[in-house]
Amino acid sequence: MEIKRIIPILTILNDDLVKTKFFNQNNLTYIGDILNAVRIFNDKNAEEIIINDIGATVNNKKPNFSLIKKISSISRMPISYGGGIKSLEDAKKILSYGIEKISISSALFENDNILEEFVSEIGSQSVAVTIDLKMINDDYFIFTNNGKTNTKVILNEFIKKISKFAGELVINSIDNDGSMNGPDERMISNIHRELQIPLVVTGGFGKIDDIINICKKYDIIGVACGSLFVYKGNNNAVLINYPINEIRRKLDI
Amino acid sequence: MIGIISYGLGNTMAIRNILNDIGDNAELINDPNQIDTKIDKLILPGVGSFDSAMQLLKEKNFIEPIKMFVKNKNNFLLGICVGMQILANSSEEGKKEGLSLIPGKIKKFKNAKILPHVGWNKVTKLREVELLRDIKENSKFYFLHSYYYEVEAKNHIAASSSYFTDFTSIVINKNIFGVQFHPEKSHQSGKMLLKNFARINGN
Repeated sequence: MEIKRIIPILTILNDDLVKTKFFNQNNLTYIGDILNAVRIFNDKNAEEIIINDIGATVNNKKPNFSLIKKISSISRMPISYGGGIKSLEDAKKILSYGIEKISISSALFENDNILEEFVSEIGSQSVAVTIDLKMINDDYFIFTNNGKTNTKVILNEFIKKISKFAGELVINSIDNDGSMNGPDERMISNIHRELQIPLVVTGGFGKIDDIINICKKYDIIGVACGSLFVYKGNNNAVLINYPINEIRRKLDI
Repeated sequence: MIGIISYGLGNTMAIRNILNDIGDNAELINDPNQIDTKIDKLILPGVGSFDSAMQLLKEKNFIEPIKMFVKNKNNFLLGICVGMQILANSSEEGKKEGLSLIPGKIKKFKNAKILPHVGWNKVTKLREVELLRDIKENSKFYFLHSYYYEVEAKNHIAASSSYFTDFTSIVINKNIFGVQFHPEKSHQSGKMLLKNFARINGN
């Protein structure tokens, strides 16, 4: 059995679809209208989609519930939403719109029991944990606040804590984000060895062969791509694409 | 007409949107009194745990009306994901009694290295099934679950899938259907399956 999940990962800021590079807020590219993007990924039969609002937590805002509701009602793909979720009430509200999964990140470091609380109420399959990682002196540290705050928590300790509860772990490499120079393979192998919940990796995927390479190494893996699915060509013109047939053909599944 | 039971779990909107797309009117059923003679099909969606689904159905007084509904053989019921699992008698996930419409027990995957089982996976039919009409053999559907349906009677198993072990992905007992995957999130194949359900004719 081989399960390879190929997932567009979309970043929103102030309701716009944007693309970051190295998490640098001064280096944002406006991509377009988020609802329009979701419609295009629908038409391209995207198998799942991840949406992260990077403006919610840093600006101390609640998730934009009305936008999330609109996205959910037009999506024919399973959605995982993250950004600004701090309470069970937020999470339940978002799931009630038909969003499959909510993702928490910074809230984990503000409230020790939040993951356990969420999972016991809404089930582990609906709760993903997303973390942004940066390597310092050979250890991977978890950063929050769009890469600005070092939580000083080391990855391997963190994994032990969350894998009893979470339904999925999404790891992003800050050093590779938006670079399109290829993913951090050391980070991926490091985590995959220890994990007993589904892993989704993102950050740096720049060509189809990067996806193929990672998918061939691991039986059960999710690959999430931002830049690769919103840019096209050598000049990185904005063009939403999702070459799933080519990927499946190369993977032969 | 098709009714979609809206009890706080599952993607009722996505299901309704797809049914509208294929030209079927579907009504969201918030109250058991809405299950009247004009409703001849019910969809029971679900996300979350077995006990929370049963608890919500109980609180909203849906349990007896659903059981009454399927006693009429011209009526049809489709359970999705946890909505399928609660068709069983009980679950390892919780303590509550299920709807007991298709004998069996919900069990946790034992040998799975990674749980939950999430993503697109193949569905293989074990016999001719109206729900899968015009859908290519071994088509993939979207799954998200850690528990599976251990069906008592082999003739109730209509299709199976594989995740570290083979498990039942479609159960059918006469006019009662259950799918472990999410047709409302499975693009063309899922849409076709819902269309097939909408077209099933009791007479």
